[in-house]
Amino acid sequence: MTELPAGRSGAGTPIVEVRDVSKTYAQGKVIVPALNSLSVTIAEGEFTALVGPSGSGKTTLLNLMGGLDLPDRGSILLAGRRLETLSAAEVTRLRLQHVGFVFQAYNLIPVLSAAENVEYVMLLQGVSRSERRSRARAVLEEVGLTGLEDRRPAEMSGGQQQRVAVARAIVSGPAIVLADEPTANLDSHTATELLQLMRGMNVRHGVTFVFATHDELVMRHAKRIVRLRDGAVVEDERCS
Amino acid sequence: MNLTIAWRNLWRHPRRTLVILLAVIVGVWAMVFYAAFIRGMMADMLRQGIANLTGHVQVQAPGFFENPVIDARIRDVATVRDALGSLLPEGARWTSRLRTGAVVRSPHGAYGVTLVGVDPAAEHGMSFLADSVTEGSGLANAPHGLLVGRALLVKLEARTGHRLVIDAQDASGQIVSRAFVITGVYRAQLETTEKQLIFCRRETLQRMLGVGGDVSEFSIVLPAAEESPAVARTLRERLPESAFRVLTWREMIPFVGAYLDSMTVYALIWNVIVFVAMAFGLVNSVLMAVFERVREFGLVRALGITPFGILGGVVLETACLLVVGAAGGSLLAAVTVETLGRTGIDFSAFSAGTEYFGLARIVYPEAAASDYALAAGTVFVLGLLVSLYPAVKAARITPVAAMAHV
Repeated sequence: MTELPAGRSGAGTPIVEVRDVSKTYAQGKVIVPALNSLSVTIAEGEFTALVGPSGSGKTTLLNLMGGLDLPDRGSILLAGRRLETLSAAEVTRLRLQHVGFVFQAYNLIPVLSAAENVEYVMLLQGVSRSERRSRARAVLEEVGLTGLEDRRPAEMSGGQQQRVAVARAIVSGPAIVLADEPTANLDSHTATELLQLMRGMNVRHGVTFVFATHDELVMRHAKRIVRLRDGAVVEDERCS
Repeated sequence: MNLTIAWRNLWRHPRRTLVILLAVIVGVWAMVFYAAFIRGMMADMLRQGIANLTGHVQVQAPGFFENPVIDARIRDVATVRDALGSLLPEGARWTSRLRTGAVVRSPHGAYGVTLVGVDPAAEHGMSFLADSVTEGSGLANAPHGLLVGRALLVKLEARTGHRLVIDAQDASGQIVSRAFVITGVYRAQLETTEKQLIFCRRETLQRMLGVGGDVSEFSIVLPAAEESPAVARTLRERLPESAFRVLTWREMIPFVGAYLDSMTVYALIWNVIVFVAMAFGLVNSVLMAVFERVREFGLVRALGITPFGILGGVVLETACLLVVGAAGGSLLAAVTVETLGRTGIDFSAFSAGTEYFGLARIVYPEAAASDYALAAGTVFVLGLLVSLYPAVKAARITPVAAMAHV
């Protein structure tokens, strides 16, 4: 079997550093504050849940960490690079090389099979066809989808689709995987399986995960819980 | 893989794709067929022009083209014959004719005509004459025979075997009259030709007009019309300008040349008109495809594709559609042109009107490779250009905006 990318060792090295970040959104003429002078650091190998009520800034923080959006104030370091100093193209390239994403829904490209969805990121990275194939098969086996490689998303259950999304997120050995409510559309059994899968990746390969969630189940699996309220960190708890 | 994605995206909504595909196919078909129809019409117009006693190149006496009277005739026939014998390319044919204005009389009327003295055997492959005799035996064995057009025959109320009297001015300026027997009736594509031209043997007319062996013109038919300028140039170099004038078909029937020259412009204008109609459907279809996939574009942007990559993907989808449409349209056009090229499109019912423009009763469409290339190229290039609008819209979608999209 093809080896999965090696996990990142040396836990404690910062992957993402969010420093005194503020962010507002305009809703019509109303300015809505999303983050308010927030600082948090995610280190290699962590399995972190960002939790809080709706509007607390979880998704905004996740988007900023992944370079999907830019802060109004403050700075974000991703893999040692300050995002606000980079061009849009450089941020895109940095995201491609160092960040994996798992979203709540619309995670997969409907016209591609499971294997092709996993290959897609490697295609963007310029990985050769044969290597893409073998790595995609290997990682799908890792997430327990052997035999479903050629199925399209519409032919898979929600849990299977999320597994494909996880496989795609980790296949290139990213520095961090950002997951926005990955279990929101799943039943508790399937959600537990998915979380165990990601925790297994975290333990075996050292993949760093950050979740934005208000799912108790995710919080139970998390090794670190960062609580947000009104755009600020109110509690940062390490779990045993 | 990009091509695979583009192709599969194209078929997410098969009905919508088929509708716009059909529009592209019909558009390309319309472009090619129009060009083939015009080309067929023009080619026939050229063939008729050449066959209507013009030829590709003529040698005349100076002034004959502007004022075709008996005084403006070629007296040094041998020089021209020598030049033609040595300078014409292989496959070229030529003949000489004597023309004069005349009046033809029957008991039922008198009409002004052009009397043409021809060598019947040499007219084969040179003009319409050899293949258009519908009644009688023609001029072959009739020293005083006359070949008359069907339309003139009706006006004269005559038939084969009847005698007609021809009056014409001879070389000395005197009016001479001679009786001829109608030995043949011909049909021409144009009724005006049938009314205007009557034919007798060349030597008979030479004797009647007292011009010895002189002729009015040497008409040359070449293997290809495109050789005309080069052949004319060569003949001009050999034949002294003081005694001879060499004309190409473009100089003798300039309106045909002008039509041919403008054909590409007409085709291009038509192509643009057809495309504009097609473009609305195309843009609408691609825009719908983009708006339906806003979240998906956001996802792939988050995964690391560049805006240019999105733009390229949308354009590639359009390119797939256009390639299939252009191929389908070209194929349909090829079948149509091939079929109608054999059977022709019959405009007999409108021939009275079309004849004024020198158009044939039956048009045989003929498409050139350039017609297919022009149609497919127009659709492909302009199609890609108009797809840039929705493609740019797709490229501007940001992951955050896409996630907020309902």
